[in-house]
Order: sequence, then C-alpha cells, then structure tokens
Amino acid sequence: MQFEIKLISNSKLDTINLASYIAKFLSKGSLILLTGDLGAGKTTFTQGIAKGLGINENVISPTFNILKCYFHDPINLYHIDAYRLKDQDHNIGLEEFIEGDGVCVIEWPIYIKELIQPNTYLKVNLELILGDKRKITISSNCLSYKNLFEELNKKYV
Amino acid sequence: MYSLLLDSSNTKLAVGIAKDDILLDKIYYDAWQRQSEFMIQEINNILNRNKILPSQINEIIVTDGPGSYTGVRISLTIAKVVGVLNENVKIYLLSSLEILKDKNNLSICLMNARSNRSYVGIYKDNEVILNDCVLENQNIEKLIDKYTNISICGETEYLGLKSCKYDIFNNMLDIKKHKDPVKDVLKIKAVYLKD
Ligand SMILES: Nc1ncnc2c1ncn2[C@@H]1O[C@H](COP(=O)(O)OP(=O)(O)O)[C@@H](O)[C@H]1O
Ligand SMILES: [Mg+2]
Repeated sequence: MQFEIKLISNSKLDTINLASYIAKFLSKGSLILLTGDLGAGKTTFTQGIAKGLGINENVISPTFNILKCYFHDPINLYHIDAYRLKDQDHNIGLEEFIEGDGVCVIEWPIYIKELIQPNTYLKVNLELILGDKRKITISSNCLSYKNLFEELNKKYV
Repeated sequence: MYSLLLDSSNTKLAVGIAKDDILLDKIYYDAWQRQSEFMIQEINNILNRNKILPSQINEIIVTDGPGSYTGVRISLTIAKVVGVLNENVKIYLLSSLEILKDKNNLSICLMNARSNRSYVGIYKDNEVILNDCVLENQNIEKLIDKYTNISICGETEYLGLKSCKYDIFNNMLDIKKHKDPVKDVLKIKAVYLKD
C-alpha cells in the first residue's frame, strides 16, 4: 500500500471521533472498506463517518438488510454489510452504490470482492486488542488520500 | 383511451399520462435510488390533476430494462400488479435504452452499467440495429466511430460524451404503436443483461 497508518483507539468514542474526522476528507464516490472480526467496531466506525458527514440519523448495522441508505445533502451515505452475501448471488445492484453518488462504506468486503475495483478505496482494519482497545490500520493506494494521511500523521502520531 | 407511462430505470422518475396517444401531462425529475419512495404518489398526483380515475387507465407503457437493478423493478412491479389485478389493462414493455433515442436519427443509447461497462443499444426509426447489451466502456468510442452521423443519447457524462436531446415520453408513445401488449402478465420480468 502506498499510504498506511496504525493507530490505537481506547474507546468507542475514540473510534467515532477518528471516523468522523476522516469523513471530512471524503467526497462523492468515496469507498471505504472495513475489515476486522465481529465486534471489532466496523459499524461503530460507520457511525462516526455518518456523524462527520452531518447525518443525524442513527446508524444501525445493515447485516439483515445488506444495504442502508442515508440520503443527506450534500452527500449521501450508503452502508453495506456483505456478511450475508457469502456464497450468494451478488447480482443485486450493489455496484450502483459502490460506484455511486455518495460515500459507500462496506463491512465484510471479502464477500463481494468482484464488485470492488482495485485501488479505488480507503481500507480500515480494526483489530480487537483487549477490552475497549482496538488497533486501527488505515491504508490506501489512492493518491487522492495523500492529504488525509498527512493530516492523520500530524494529528495522531 | 388513457395510457399511463412509467420509467424509473436510471436516475430519473418519469410518469406520464396520454389520451389517445397524445401526451397530456408528465412528471420527470431526478430521484436516483429513491423512485420507490415517490412513484406511487406521483402516479396519484398526475391522475388527480388531470381528473382521471385509476379505473380509466386502459394501458400502461413501461420500461423493463436494462438499468438500475432496483429502479427497473419499481415501475415494472407497479405495472405488473395492475395488469394482474385487472386483465383489461394492457401492458406494453419497452427497452429503457430505446426510449432515449433521437427520433429523427440513428441513435446509440447508453447507460452506465458500472464496473467500467455500459448498457448499449443502437436504434434507427423503429429498427433495432444493435440489440441492448453490456459493453466495456473502452469499446464504446470505437463503436461510435463505426457510424457516421449517429446521435449519442442518454446520461453520458460518465463517458465524457455529450448527449443529444431526447423526449422519452413521446418516444414511449411512438414505440408502443409498433408493439403488441404483453400476453402473459405473470411472466413479466426485468431485463438484467448482467446475469
Ligand atoms: N475502541 C472501540 N472502538 C469501537 N467499538 C468499541 C470500542 N470499544 C468498545 N467498543 C464496542 O464494541 C462493539 C463494536 O460493535 P460493532 O461496531 O457493531 O462491531 P462490528 O460492526 O465490527 O461487528 C460496540 O458495542 C462498541 O461499543
Ligand atoms: Mg457490523
């Protein structure tokens, strides 16, 4: 990866604040892949992104509906949880949201990897350490995130 | 004879009403991924403001794809339900690409299929020159170059191409004249060329 930064989050609020900060660097068409175990904080991270985009609606896990849309001016948020798409037919139009007119966040992207174009995304891996502590690794091959990584380095390292 | 015209196959929500194949009124605006929220209400609005009762609708002219996965199914489902509940209502299925054509010219009709691909159909008058299909975006320009004087139609900004003007409502009425209504309404199914 061209850019990478490793951070520690000590609480749910830490994770939300980080995600909310990152949201300021996102624009229409931004794609964020969230990886990590169940309970690592992927949905929590998405709540932070929503907050950063100014969305007041409560973000809940779309595990059962696969996709939730938060229509909001000037930028929509599309939240996909692909967990249930493991070994399923993926022809359900998700590419319209992944390459859409908003920010798209995907939990469990591994299960729809043929819908994701290489080098188009910001990747966030969350790892459970102990208790509320999480190791968060943010990486990307997109030059458009250069500024984000510079600012994260200043702010957190 | 009243016709209801419906299309939600791409970014727009389109509802039209025609009497004896003459367009009376239309509703047409951007509603990408939100047509399901507004479509029924807009049908109701257009009927009310033209003082037409739902029971007066004799036919529904609707697109069956290709296009947005959910979008295509919204108009099509509405048409299908009406057709199943009332067998006197005729349903006409039209290509969502063909309705974008420039009526007076050879037309290449395009729609973003994502993943660097497009839905493409080529039409001239009421003839299909190229059946609706999915093509890699990199091949589109080559295809266009094969024809001299072809109109580019659709929301083609994603290809960096400028579209000509088109009138989907009058196109729908026009194309319908050359079509037969669906025989078995229960068999109506969206055209999803990616399968
Ligand atoms: N540092 C932290 N970052 C994120 N979530 C945390 C943290 N510490 C504790 N939590 C809790 O862990 C859970 C994470 O759940 P969730 O975000 O739904 O995970 P996932 O979507 O990855 O399965 C939440 O209950 C949250 O309150
Ligand atoms: Mg989750």
